[in-house]
Amino acid sequence: MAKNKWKKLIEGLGYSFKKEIFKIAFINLVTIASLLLLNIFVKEIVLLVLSILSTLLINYLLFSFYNGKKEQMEKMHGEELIALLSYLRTFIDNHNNIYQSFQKLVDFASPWMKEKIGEFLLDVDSDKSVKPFIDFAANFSSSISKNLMLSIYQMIDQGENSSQLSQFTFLFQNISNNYNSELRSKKQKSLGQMAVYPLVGAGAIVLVLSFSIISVVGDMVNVL
Amino acid sequence: MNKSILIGALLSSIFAFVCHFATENLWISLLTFLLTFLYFSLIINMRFKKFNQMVKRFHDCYYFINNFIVSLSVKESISGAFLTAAESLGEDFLEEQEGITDLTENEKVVYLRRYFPFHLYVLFSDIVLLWCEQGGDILAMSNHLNNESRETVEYILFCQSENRKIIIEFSLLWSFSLAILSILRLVLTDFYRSIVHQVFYPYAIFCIFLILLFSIEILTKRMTKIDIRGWRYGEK
Repeated sequence: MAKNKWKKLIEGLGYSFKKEIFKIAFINLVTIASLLLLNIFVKEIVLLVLSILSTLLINYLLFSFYNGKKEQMEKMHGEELIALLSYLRTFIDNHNNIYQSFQKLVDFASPWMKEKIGEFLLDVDSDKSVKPFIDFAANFSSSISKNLMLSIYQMIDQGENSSQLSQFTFLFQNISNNYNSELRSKKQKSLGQMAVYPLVGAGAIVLVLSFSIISVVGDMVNVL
Repeated sequence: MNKSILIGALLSSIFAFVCHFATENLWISLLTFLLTFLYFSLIINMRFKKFNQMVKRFHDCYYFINNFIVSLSVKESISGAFLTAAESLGEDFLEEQEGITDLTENEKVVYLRRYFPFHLYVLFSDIVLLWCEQGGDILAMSNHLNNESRETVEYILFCQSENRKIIIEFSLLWSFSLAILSILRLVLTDFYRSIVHQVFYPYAIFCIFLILLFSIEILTKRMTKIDIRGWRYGEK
């Protein structure tokens, strides 16, 4: 079960599962062998514990690399979808229907997105239900993409009338606003964290001075 | 003289003065001065140069797009719109334009994606090409583009105002920290002489200045990081 999960994750990132597992096994083997050698020469229990902990840490870092990469890719795909929506809206505004607009989107998309849009268009050709839209939305982690695709489906289903178009515009505006407010709060948060550093500096100053005073007092007591 | 170098010279003098006042060690103070000055002149200077270039380029892009769309809606000619929009831009753009005089106006619009490496410009050039192919009302077609570029300009202004706020906050907090060091030097007077002669003390104070420089590094990195779609840091 866990193997399948990792296999899916690693292959989803475009890596070969076998190669990656071999790489991890090799790194582990080298680490364990060198730590064992070190333990043979320096027979310290603390070192043994440290060796086990460092091996665990290395494995944690190796495996969390894939999760980090996955998050990064999902973010990139979400951003690309928002960027492509700008095109979609321009095409729709210019009197193209939804299907034609999606077809035109392919020219402006990344290879990954091209593939997904291609699959989506093929699915739409064979299946007129809401399923292709939900399947396409499932490629993105944000729930808003599902709402968006459902709204687009409703537009097609109900004949792309003007009220549906305005609904799409409203939804699109919401996505755009969310994206912008997310950017702003990200900026605020990253700058807000900076107040910690002067406090760390002040703490270090107090620590250095306290330590100096204590050692001076200690010297005085020793002299007496 | 460059603003970053000027600020660097001022800050390195202040840091060196505080360091000398606190440690009475000339070498450590000189090292603090040199390190701060070099860091500001080489790293910070370059970082802000790139940042300012990006902001300026985006503003140029914004004005170019606006002028182009308005002119296109009035004149309904790409060449006329291009000429009007190009007039509003600075010398950098004129230099770039000199190399593309042989291209047609449509090709020039597409070629300028290299000069304006923003998602908005790509969207704009695609809209212009779409207008050439399909026709239509350019103002209506670029309605969303205008909204998005306005929002991006607002976002840049927001970032700049947040940067100003954090600089004030950060400088005040660090000033208080360094003031503690200087005040204790004055308050403890004779006792301080014994502290200064502790072997580790000057190095510990130097480490505090290293923490200060490290925090400036993180701050300036975060200040100059603005997410404008299409612009890639380190490539320009």
